Amino acid sequence: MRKFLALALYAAFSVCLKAQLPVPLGSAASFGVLAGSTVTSTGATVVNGNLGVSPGTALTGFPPGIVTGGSIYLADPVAAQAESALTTAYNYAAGQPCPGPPLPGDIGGTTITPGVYCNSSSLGITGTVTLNGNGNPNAVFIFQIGSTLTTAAGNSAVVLINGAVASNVFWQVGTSATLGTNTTFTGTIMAQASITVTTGASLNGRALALIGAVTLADNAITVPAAPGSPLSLTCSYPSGQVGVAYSSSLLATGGTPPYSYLIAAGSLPAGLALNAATGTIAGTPTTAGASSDTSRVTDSLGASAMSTCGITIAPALSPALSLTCASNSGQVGQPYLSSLVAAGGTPPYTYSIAAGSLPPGLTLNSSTGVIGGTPSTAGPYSYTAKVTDSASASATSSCGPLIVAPSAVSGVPAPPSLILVLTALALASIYLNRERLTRRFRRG
Amino acid sequence: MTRKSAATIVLSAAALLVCYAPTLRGMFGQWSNDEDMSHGFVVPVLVLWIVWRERKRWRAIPAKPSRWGFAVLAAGAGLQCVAALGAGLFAGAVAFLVSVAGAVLCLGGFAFLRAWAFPLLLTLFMLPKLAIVYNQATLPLQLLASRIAAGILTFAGIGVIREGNILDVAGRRISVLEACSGMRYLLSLGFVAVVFAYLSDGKPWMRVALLVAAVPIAILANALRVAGAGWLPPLAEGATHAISGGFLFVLCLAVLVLAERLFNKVYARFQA
Repeated sequence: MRKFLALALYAAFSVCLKAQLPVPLGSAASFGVLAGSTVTSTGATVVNGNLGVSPGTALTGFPPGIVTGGSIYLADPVAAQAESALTTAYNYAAGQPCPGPPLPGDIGGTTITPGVYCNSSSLGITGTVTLNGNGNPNAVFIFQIGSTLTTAAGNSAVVLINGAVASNVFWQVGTSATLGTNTTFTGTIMAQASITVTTGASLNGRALALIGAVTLADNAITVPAAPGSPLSLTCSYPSGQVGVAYSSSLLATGGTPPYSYLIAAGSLPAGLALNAATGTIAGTPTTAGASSDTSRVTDSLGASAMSTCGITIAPALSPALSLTCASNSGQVGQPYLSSLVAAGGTPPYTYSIAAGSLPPGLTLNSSTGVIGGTPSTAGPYSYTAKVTDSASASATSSCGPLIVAPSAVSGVPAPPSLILVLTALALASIYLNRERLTRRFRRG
Repeated sequence: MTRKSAATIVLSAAALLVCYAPTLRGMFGQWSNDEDMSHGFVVPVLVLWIVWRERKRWRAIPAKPSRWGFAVLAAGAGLQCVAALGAGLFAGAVAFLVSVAGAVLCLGGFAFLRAWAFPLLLTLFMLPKLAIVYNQATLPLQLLASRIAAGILTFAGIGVIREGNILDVAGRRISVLEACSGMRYLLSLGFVAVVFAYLSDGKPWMRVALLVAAVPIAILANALRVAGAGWLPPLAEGATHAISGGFLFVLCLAVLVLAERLFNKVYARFQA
């Protein structure tokens, strides 16, 4: 009996020992963006949480970027303390033992259960990586990466299922992290050097750089709520464009995952659809215009939260105006017919010669782009052609050299045979009668 | 010659002219429109002059009409029918000459035909071009002229690139077309060679010898003309082109004269 109890206690203790705790972020937990040197943003970046820089002082791009639900701290004690807490958290995450085999170089397309995972070099995410909480809202995921973390441009994503929460996902990066265009990322990134979040990427987590810069571009960064906090729903849709793949995400925090999402009122722009399990709104817009919708999230206990947002879809852009040159081969005396060809822009087009000149004898039809005529002078001719469309956009192209070859002598026919024969016969008769002619000449 | 026989000759000639009027019209048309064949106008005039020049000789021959003449006339008429059915102008012209020979046979006999053999053979130079032969001969002559001209220019130290019948002389391209094949020189110089041999020397073999000698002389002269046009562009155009072409033909005549002297010397040495 004693032996059984001892074994049970050991098993229970062992389980308790193996339960992974979240990384203690301390005062850095309230920061959505924290950098050691600079924070730079372009476009309409939204940071939902604090933004800090220390010991550096440089911050650019705010506005137009905005910070909501927090403040900006530049080289002040709050930022310095957060950096100190970040150093502690980084070291804590880096010091966690890795029980399993190293991660592959790219974990896109895999499903990962809670635990500590390591890769001594670089880690990539191409596509979607799913973090499965196995129904445990306290499940913790720690990724130790020796050098860089990179997500592929496009629609790479970190998706949480079965109770996994963003606040318990940590990425300890040995050098720098780069989130590719339109990535939907989840978790707290703690990078030794810099973090770059490229255009359209969203981060449900934190971008915390120890010594380097954080560079943002039209992003949405939301500090995840701590477990047990009230359920809330955030939507910050970037604008889209007809014909261009679009991806954004509803962001639920607090409550008890997993969540389910739906459009309670209004509608999404034509061509876009909501993924009820992940909150991702994706597709290719087909109609330009502004739309508004009210989204609702429901957690596993039935609690719900709503948020109203709008998406503006811009019209499709016309292809860029371009101009292709005419043929570069001609010959003196031979008819030449070729054409400048414009593409893109908004027809009709108007063609002209912006610089240089066409070979003598050739003319440009300004409305059709046809260059025609008969070159009269040999030589190389370089010119700059220009096209202007109806929207006054223009494009130029350096053409040539148009080589006008000298005329080919189309043969050297002899004089008509009648002339040849008459001449020869006349001379022959003079030759044959030379003595008689000489005598007459002498007499004369 | 009696009045009756004179009337018979005139009527026969008139009948031939009437029967072959379309053919003669076609031949005149070609002489007018084709500069290779414009010497055709000279041929009948010269033939008639030679007949007149030889009048004492053939007037001394007694006329012995031959019935074979009708057979030859019939052959000529048959050939004319074939020409009318589509064989073309060349067949019609040959039919005309055959019929003339037939008429001579009918009216004067074989002795007259022998006496008029040279002028009758000379009329071959006024025959229209035989398209099959002309087309077969033109391309080789073009290529030959191009090749020799390129050789002459290279020998003279002038850079030339030859692509078939195209000569590129310092970026100036000369296309040796059909008209430059040398056919015109060949036909004209052949005719002149035979006439010159007739006028300068009584020996019939000399006519053949000079006709044969005229072939390489004409080809070489034409190649020289092409090479000259490649070397000096003005020689390819306008009046200078015509003058240089005529001058070169005169040089050909001079070479023929030299050839005639040479042949005579060789002949004299053999005779001795």
